[in-house]
Amino acid sequence: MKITPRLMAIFVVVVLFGGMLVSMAMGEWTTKSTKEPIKFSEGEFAGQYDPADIRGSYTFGDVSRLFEIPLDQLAVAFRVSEADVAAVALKTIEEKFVNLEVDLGTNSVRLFVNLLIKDWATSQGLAFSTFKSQLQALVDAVK
Amino acid sequence: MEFSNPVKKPIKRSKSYKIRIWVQLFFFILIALISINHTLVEEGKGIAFLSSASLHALCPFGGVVSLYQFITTGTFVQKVHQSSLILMIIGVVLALFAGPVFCGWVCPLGTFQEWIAKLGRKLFKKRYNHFIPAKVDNVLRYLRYLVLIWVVFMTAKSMTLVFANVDPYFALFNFWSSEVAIGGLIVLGLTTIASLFVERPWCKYACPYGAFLGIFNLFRIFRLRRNATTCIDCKACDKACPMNIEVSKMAVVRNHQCISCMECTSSAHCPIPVTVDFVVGGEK
Repeated sequence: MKITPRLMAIFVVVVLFGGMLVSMAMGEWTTKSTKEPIKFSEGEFAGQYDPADIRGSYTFGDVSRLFEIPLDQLAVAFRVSEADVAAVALKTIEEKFVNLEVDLGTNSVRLFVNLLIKDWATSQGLAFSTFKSQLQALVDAVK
Repeated sequence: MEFSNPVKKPIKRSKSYKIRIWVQLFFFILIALISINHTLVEEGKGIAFLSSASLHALCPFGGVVSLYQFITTGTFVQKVHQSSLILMIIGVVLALFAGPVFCGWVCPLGTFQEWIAKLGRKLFKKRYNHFIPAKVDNVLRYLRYLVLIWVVFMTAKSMTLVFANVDPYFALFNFWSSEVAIGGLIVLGLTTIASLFVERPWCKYACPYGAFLGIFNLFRIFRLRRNATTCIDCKACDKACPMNIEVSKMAVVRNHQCISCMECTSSAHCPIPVTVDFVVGGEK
């Protein structure tokens, strides 16, 4: 059987859009993040969200909800002046601090959330060693 | 032995082979509109009926680079979503049947390079696409496999989308956005300039996704076959091939660079009917 260009065009369009439609019908087609970071699988924080997996598409509202950090604390820490702090996406931070020598962005939020967890861990008498190396990597990235 | 063309009059050929140009144009406009809509939605505007997905979510290569992380942790590399994995599966299904048909018919970056090539062809005539000596060119063609290995390894190691820093496809449709990396813009600029001399330079020498799909040419179900008994050795197929494959020397094209564009076939540039065709079944 010969495949003509017209047949090939139909084949490409049908398989491509057909595959997408089937995946949509099955509820598998997602083009956006679920706004839910991965969780620590072991250690004293097992089952809790991992700050290292915070994405630039998250809003301050998402971070506040997921890590139980008051929005006003986040607004002060990152100089968010917008009326609706919760709706501000983390990736916009870089544009706010363009004149700084250090690169401030989503990594800074990860670090901030990590440090809050450290405070909490210390107050609870828990070891911080579990994610110390991970935190160091974040610090290096911000440097 | 020299053969003369037994066909006295030019064959009245259907222009249906040009359907590829329209398919390419459709996908180029679709991706451009989605990318513009993505920017508009972030500014609180946007077109309601059109997807506003990030281009990272609509690139099947995201699925390839995320595969390791997906298998080991069940998550995707940052910026990549499940849609990329689904598109990767669709790309593999297409490639299993027809080889890298995604490159030849869908990829907007390939389309963009072909448009620049039209200008290059006008400037350099027959010299176009023949500037690089064959020996050097043959070696350079394997560079894209090094790029593929490097990208997959570095993505698995860092769990970040390292390729985004040099991705010309993302840069092409996001050059107005602060999200695009300077490296991507540089690679896009170099690709554009190189396209004036060589057809599809990014696809030939650097595209890791093209490298991945090219492997399927070794065992694709639709085979690009040349009938040696009717072939008049005019080399029209060789001249038409944007990837410089010498179709006239092969019985079945299994070259990893073939993009299944069908320009060499009897439906397009081969002057003899039923001589170079994509076929299913028949003799091997």
